[in-house]
Amino acid sequence: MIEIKNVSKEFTKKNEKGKSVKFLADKDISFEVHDGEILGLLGPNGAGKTTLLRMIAGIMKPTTGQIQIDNTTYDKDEIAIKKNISFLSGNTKLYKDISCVELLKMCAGYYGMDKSIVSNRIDEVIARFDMESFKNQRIGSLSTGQVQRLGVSRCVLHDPHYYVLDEATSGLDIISSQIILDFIKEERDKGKCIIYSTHYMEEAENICDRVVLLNKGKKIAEGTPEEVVKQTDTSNIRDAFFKLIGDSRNELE
Amino acid sequence: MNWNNITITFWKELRGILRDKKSLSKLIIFPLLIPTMILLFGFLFDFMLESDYVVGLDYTMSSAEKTIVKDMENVTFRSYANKEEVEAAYEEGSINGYITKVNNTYAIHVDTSKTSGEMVYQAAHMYLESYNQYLGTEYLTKQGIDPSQVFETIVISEPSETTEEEGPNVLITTVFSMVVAYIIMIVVLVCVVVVTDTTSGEKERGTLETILTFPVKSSELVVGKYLASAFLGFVVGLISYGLAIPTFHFGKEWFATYEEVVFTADIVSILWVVFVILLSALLTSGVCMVLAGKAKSYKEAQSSLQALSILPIVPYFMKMMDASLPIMDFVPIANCSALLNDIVIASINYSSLLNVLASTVVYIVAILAYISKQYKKEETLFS
Repeated sequence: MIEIKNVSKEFTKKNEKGKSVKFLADKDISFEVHDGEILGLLGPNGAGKTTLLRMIAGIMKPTTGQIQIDNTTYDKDEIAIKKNISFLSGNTKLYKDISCVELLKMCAGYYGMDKSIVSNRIDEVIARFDMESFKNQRIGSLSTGQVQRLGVSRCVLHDPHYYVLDEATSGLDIISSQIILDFIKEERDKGKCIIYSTHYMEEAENICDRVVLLNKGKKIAEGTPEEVVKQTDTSNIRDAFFKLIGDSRNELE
Repeated sequence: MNWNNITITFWKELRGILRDKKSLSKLIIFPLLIPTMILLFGFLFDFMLESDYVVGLDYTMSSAEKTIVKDMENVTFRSYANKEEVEAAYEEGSINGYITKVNNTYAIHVDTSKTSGEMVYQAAHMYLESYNQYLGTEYLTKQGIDPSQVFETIVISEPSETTEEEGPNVLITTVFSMVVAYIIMIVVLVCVVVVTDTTSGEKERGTLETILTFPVKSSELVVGKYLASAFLGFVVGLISYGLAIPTFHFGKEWFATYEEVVFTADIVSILWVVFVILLSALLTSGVCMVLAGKAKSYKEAQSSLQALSILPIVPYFMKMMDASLPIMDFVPIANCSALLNDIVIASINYSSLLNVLASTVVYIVAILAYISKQYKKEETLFS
């Protein structure tokens, strides 16, 4: 289980006058993600989703609050958590000058996988994501869909229990998107714990067991898609999203 | 510290650099410049010293003047009928300068901004000085006075060292020292290429985020990148030195310019050179990591790091200006360059050597401690 407890993240940026000003990307956010569950993280651009996901994946540290994964924190055992978690973003960039197989071998090395099983495991993921035809090509020569399939292969290679997926289907065609969505559902059915951020409301409604809605760094709603729709007295998650964002704007004003 | 992660990072960076055509071409071209420079300087200096310069005169030389200029090397004096003719010859480039004479006033006409003009000026000046002394001697003799009583009333004893430094080899020795400094400059340039690519380049390409999701400590990533940069700097530095040895060996046979220049390549000096190149690579790589960590973009890193490449030639500019300072032993990178030159010309000052080695080791340790903290900060990783 992943537990997010009162997490805030503060950044410093320069204003128009060149002075350093502090701002909160995430403000006092709390929720849980259970095993065998896909939690959808929804929100407009600048809502603080990516920052929150980066903190959950251990790339950044919260300014205040705590992220607990498997009852431990990054401060206590960063390496143990990272060995059991995967982060995939729609913007994830991979090394262009190496082949798919070389990348997967490198990842297996970083995850400390047993050398005797690495080759078989790489063959398995290559077959699973239909990468046989381009497995020895350099990543720089692959299409966007092929790169994203490789990205997913990288994520499943070490068979983690936790997935942090940030707009993983962004910019992909319908076939590549479906491959990734099928994979997410399969992993959920295996009892894995998944956080999935997306801009596509229909996608969220179809695959997420629960959703958390963020706006301007604050959590504004949480529940199953049906509960959120009911709470907002709308007919689907898209309308619920617009209503919540509108309410949130009015509150802020 | 997990050495498996460091090794993976090390090989990842090495593979990335060697597969990138732009970076690879730089690693190949840099050492090739060493033999090119040695041969080019040898050729140019030989050409400059062997060239015959022609000085025009608008008068006819006396037999005494002809005797004076007869033994002057690389310069010929040619008489013309009048000033107009000698000026015309100068205009069309058939002479490199000329002397005009009105009564007992001689005027030298040269363009001293050109090498040939400078050479002609020196030759013309020497001829006129000698001729002036000859006339003085002749006059005194006619007056029944011993000229040595006038011209040699005092005796100046020259220090023996100065005679070694006289002549054209002072210049070629300095230029040759700069070729040696270029070996360290290559180490710097390679570290700049590697560090810029593996730090700022990785941030800009977005691959840093990917690698930070792996179960790797930032310190392991930094050490892997640092070692990859130091390793390539060391290897390319060694190749450069390796190319310099045979090129200089043949250069000595081919070019008279290098006859008196010392380039020691015995086993002890080779080991010292290898050690100094290693230290330079370790230090430069660290300095580059610190500066690249502060840069906000690839371009900013590249421009701030490239300034480091000037450091290895600083000691030679100071030497040319006769302004060598003991503090240079403690100026990072510049001190390694100066020490390398001392080793190569077999003129090691052991107190200076100790200063350089001790200070460099201290700098390396301090920089490693600094970068291990620096690269833990989010502003370094995500700026």
